[in-house]
Amino acid sequence: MLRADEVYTCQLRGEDSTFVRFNRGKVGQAGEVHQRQLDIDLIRGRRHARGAYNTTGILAADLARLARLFDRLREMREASSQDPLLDYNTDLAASSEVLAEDRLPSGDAVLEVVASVAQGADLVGIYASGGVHRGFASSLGQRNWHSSFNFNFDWSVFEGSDAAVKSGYAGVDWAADAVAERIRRSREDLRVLCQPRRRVAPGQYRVYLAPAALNEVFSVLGWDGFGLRGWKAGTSPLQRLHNGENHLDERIEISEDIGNGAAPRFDGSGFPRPDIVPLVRRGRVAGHLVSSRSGREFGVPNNGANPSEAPTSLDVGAGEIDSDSILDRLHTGLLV
Amino acid sequence: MPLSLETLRDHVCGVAPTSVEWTVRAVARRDETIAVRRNAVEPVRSDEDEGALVSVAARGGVGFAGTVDLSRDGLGRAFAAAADWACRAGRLSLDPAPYLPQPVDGRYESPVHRTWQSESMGDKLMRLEGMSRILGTGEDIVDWGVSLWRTEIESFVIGSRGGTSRQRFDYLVPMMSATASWRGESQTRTFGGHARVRQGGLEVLTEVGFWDAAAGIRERARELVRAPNCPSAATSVVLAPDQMILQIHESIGHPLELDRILGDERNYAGSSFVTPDMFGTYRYGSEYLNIDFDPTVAGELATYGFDDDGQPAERTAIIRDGILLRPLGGRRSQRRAAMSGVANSRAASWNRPTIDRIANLNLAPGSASLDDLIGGIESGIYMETNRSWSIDDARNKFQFGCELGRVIRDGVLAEVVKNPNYRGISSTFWRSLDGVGAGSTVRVLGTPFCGKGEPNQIIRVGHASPACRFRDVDVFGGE
Repeated sequence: MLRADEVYTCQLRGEDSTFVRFNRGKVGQAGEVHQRQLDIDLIRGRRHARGAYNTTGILAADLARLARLFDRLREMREASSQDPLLDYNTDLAASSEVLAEDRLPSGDAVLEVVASVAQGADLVGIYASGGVHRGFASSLGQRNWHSSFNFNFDWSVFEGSDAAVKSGYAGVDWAADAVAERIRRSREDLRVLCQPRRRVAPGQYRVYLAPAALNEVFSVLGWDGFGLRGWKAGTSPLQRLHNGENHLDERIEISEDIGNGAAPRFDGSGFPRPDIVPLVRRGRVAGHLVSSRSGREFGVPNNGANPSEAPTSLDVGAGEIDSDSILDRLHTGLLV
Repeated sequence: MPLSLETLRDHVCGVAPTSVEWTVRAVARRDETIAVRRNAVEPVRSDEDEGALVSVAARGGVGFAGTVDLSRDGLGRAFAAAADWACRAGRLSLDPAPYLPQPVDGRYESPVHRTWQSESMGDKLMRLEGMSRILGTGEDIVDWGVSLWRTEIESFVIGSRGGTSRQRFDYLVPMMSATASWRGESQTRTFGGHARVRQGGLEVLTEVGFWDAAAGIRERARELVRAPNCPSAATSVVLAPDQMILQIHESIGHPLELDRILGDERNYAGSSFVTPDMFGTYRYGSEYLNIDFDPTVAGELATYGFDDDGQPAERTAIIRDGILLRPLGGRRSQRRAAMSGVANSRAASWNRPTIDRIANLNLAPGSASLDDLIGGIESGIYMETNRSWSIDDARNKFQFGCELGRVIRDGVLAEVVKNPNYRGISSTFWRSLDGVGAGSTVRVLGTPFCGKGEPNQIIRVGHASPACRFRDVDVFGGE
């Protein structure tokens, strides 16, 4: 199917996912989804076109679709201009394979825990689990594969309309006792919110932001905050930090850290992703997330960032306050 | 769609169980994107996505299974999996009488006058490259881009009682932006964000003035970056339609989703300050506020004949003369709540179950011209084009920002200001509505990026709105 003067790169994204939604401690929606998508970049010189389609696993049908896609991409490619920012990996030493074992619980096991521990609780949330598969291949011979099987059970327990405790349990090994304990603890923590309330007037306060609260801040900053392109375009929410006109407290350390193996170590163009990309060191910018296109545009090495240059696994470095001394250190203020 | 309805129906009927209720929703989607950024053509894209979601009601529960394998074997496996999930869910079901709405017969098709294919890819790209050169002219323009995103969708909903709804949609999203930088600051001006999205073909681009907009976008960016900050005051505000859509979306649309009112979204998208007892009596806004669920407006983004449960859709009053009448809830939520609703059970694609979504939610025009609305203000601010949004969990307290503002002084528009923002509380804000533009000020807009649901579902919604005036609004700038 490939012509002599063409190169392809392709990515496979696959999932076999289970989703169960809960409300008031009962099942609202439950089911599963199976999907495989092939995303191809068909290249000739510096012209290329990209396309994707779902593979069914029926080879004849999938090859017929691929042939139609190739025809369409060739037509689009020839109408397009040369792309000065096109870049893809040519170092075959970047091939890799990461496999994992499926140790996920059955749907029945999950519902059993919720049925027993969440009895009478207004628990609302989602259990999502399954296999997530990513692959990369190129006509140059590079092959990468990453499989993981994990679960994420994310819930809130409510008392009344606005008193709620949010909690979760995620990982690769499901322990019914552990999730039962977390649900029990979140129901107990809810009692704190049911105490008489004080109105907090607008003003300046000493505040402790727990990791879940700080996560909300970084979710917003992740939009254009750490990418090279956002800085160069002048649209980064951390523009003055990147320009060197301002800095954070020197105790702040931020990295993109995929060393825990949850994410693939290759990007959509076959470039390797390092375990750690330092972004902020001692409160000052230490680096950026750089996609292959930004690397070409600005003449710097890329670090396998996704096209939007958004972080996928942000790590904020630990400090010196241990959890037992938070309230002592906070003394008087707000704990969020 | 490579798989025809007849073939799909044949495969489904060959494997579907006969003793339980079921539905199959099959969707085939094709997207093409062409874009030019900083005068470099981005990789052109052509993507397909096709699959089906099988839903089964059995043993007190409803289960679903999504598959890309639409052969008899593939659908057979999906039916078996959906039935298994129905049994599991039945043991712990939220709904004591789980219900699977059955689709009715019918068809809908987007009106298209000039097809996407009627102009070659090369010609389209050449035009975008020309627009890019115009956008990027000037050393103070540091980032710019222009793009067209076209989507074609065909969907079938087949039910165990024999009904079939069949729809075909064509969407076009034109976007362009320019970012100007001056003295260490930058400002971006866009072509209405992604709000100029419509159903239709290439004629949409002429209707919305896309081809001629580049120079104006660039100059507005340069003007904005040199403009003073919006002043802070409790003042009168006129909001252009491309900010009204965000106001309607966040502080009317989302709080009225019935499954949200029933608590389904509290772990993620949030709850609502609206409660079931409010319908029929609650004053949501001033007597100028009239809101309709309207799936009939030609070209609007969520115009359709049927929702994704195959239920027929019709125009319905949601708020009349400021009084809240009806929630936005599909058949399943209506039964759970014992309330009337609308046909708005929708899913982002074949691989997600339906939930209650905003569809087309429109504010009815009044009788005032834009000059009338502005003329009635001694001191105030006019704002265009949403840029940012933040609203609390219950959809009550909000803070919104726009790209461009203009001071209103003695009834006329004066200087441009940057970073215009305002804040408020949904219920009191809508009661401060005291002027609604006439039909001449109405723009049919929307967004292809409304998010909700666990797992998250991004969906298209439409909002048609006139310009509107509000009194005593807390306005502030970027300093």
